[in-house]
Amino acid sequence: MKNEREQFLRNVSEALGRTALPKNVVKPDWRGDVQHQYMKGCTQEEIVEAFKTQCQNLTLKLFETTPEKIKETMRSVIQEYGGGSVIYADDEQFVSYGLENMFQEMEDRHEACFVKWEAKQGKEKNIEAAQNANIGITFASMGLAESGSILQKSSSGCGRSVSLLPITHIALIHKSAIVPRMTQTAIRLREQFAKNQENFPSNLTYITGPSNSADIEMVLVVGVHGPVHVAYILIDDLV
Amino acid sequence: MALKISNEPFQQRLKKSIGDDFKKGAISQAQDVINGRRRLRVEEVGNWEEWRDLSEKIRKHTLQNLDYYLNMFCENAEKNGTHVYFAKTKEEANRYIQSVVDKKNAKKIVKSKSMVSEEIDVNHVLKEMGCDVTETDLAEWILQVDDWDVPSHIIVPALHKDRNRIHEVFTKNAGYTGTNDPTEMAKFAREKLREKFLEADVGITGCNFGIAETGSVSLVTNEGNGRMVTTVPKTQITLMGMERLIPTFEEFEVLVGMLVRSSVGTKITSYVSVTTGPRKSDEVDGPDELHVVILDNGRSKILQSEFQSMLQCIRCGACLNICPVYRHVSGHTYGSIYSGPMGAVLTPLLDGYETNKELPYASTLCGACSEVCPVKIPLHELLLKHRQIIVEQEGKAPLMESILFKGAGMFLSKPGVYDFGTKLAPSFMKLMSKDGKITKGYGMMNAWTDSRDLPVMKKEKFRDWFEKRKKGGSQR
Repeated sequence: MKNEREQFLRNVSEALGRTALPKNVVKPDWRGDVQHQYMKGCTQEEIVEAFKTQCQNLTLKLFETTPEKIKETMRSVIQEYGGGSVIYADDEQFVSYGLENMFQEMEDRHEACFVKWEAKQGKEKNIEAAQNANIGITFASMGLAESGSILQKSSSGCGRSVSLLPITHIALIHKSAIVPRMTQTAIRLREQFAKNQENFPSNLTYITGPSNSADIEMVLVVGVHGPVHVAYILIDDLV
Repeated sequence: MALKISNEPFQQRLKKSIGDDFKKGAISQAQDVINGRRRLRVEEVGNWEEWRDLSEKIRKHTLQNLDYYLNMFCENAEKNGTHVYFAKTKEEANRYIQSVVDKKNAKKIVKSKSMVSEEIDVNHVLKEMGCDVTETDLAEWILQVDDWDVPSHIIVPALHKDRNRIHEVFTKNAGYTGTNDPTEMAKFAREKLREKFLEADVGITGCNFGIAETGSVSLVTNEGNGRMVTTVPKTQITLMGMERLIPTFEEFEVLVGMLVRSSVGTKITSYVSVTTGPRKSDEVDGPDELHVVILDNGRSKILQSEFQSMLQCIRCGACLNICPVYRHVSGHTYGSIYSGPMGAVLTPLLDGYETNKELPYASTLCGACSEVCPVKIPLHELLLKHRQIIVEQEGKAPLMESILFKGAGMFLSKPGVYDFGTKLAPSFMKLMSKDGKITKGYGMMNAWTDSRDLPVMKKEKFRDWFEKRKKGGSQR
């Protein structure tokens, strides 16, 4: 393998007119370029407003709430999407916001049934639970104002399946985590990688609304392989 | 399917496509819709030219240091636990994929869209091994169900089929019992393919961009099949053309924005996923093993040639969607999985001139392709370069052009003959015409009159009219 790689790379070097790999390449600094101009100097409120407007443009369902009202909002959103079986990520925030308790109450009242994604249960059980779930709930790590996207990282507590296999995906996102565009997430991801490569998520996905396709006569069909519905719950944590 | 999708000669492919009215209508409509949306996004951005400049700079910087970044990619990917394999040829790539599938004793394979996988014809190899291969992109699944029909567009591969045709093949070959409503048919595909995802042993994907600094591979999709393929199967094999690399997340985000705006005319797709290594030991979904196969297959030759800028291509298809020739002849005429202007430049580079010498001539050189290209590849100039090489070095100009130019050379170099000929021509043409137009030509004229009428030459030649005008004669 080593040998194949060396030969392959030597061939590329020769195509570029040199005999060996360059020792060091200085990457141009793009920080003065156009991508950094978007919403430059805007306040966090303005960035959040832009996010909300973009979600509206995309007819993406967005529910606003506060840390105090989050349980109420969550309950009504789950009901709006038909309740049934719900899978949620193993994330400490479900506990700290009191959502886990609220889920238990809903279950007691037979309003829905809840399964937590639990790594120790193994692959098959977890995937089966997600596959059978009507709703999957996750906390997203960032939001993008320009495109109305959220950034979802995979982890042991939040498998890729939670936001993918159920019919509906509900994503919780903090207002403080909304940035102008992908540019800001790129910088943070680079920092995260530099700090600890081993902990860098094996998968991260920028999600923007439900899955769709225009492969048949260019007619937009919503809900192909991924979720058919996506709802964001925006938590106001700005003081 | 391999790089070439047809063994028929160019003229025959052309004839077939031009006679297919549905195909032509579908393509015109798709061009108008996608291009209209693309234009909206460009206007919205405002400073689009600055974005194009930046994107070109990123692509050029990467290509000029491609050996360095490939090495960086490989080192980081391996640190993440990814197996990286460098394949000089498509045979090497196929052998490696075969060995992985073999070792896993895998039978069920799901694929998300990958042009490289078509280029190396891996489906053929896998099917010969007795594997059950399923294309999961909706359009590609439609083509598969229709007895592995060939794609006509790099972004919308089943563009040449209408809902009735799709309904027919679903009913006949997949046990579908519903109506021809696109939503209903897509739902059927969702159910059918969900089963396939859940039972698959190996997932094969393409790669929109490889990120050198983190050793990551990425997929830009709308349907979510790319995510499915990288979530359930225990083994993931990702195929990447060696030029599909960029240095870091910072360059990645710029190019993703350009790709999506240019290809489908939205700000972003439903999913942009980045995979960095196999699943962690404490994670339960995602692949246990991740293999990345990096393919040369002629790319290093392009890198050192005057066609280097073609490797800047990010496969957005904007050049197909604007091209007046593509509009009329459709993707199948190009005879390659890569069609339109980018295909006319790339196919001869990957496959030689021998069977592709007509492609650089399938262009009006209007330059619209170069103008929309988000990474500023001078496509029409590269097409012209191809023509020069074909004529000068290879002596392989299409027969018609050789005769035409030889004749024209003789004709134009002898003023007397030229003058006589152009005086005589109108009378000859009149013999063939009806109401001042020729609707059925002979010999070489066929190529023109097959698709439109040829006006009869005026009796008075421009030169004569101009001479008279100077002397104060006919003003017309």
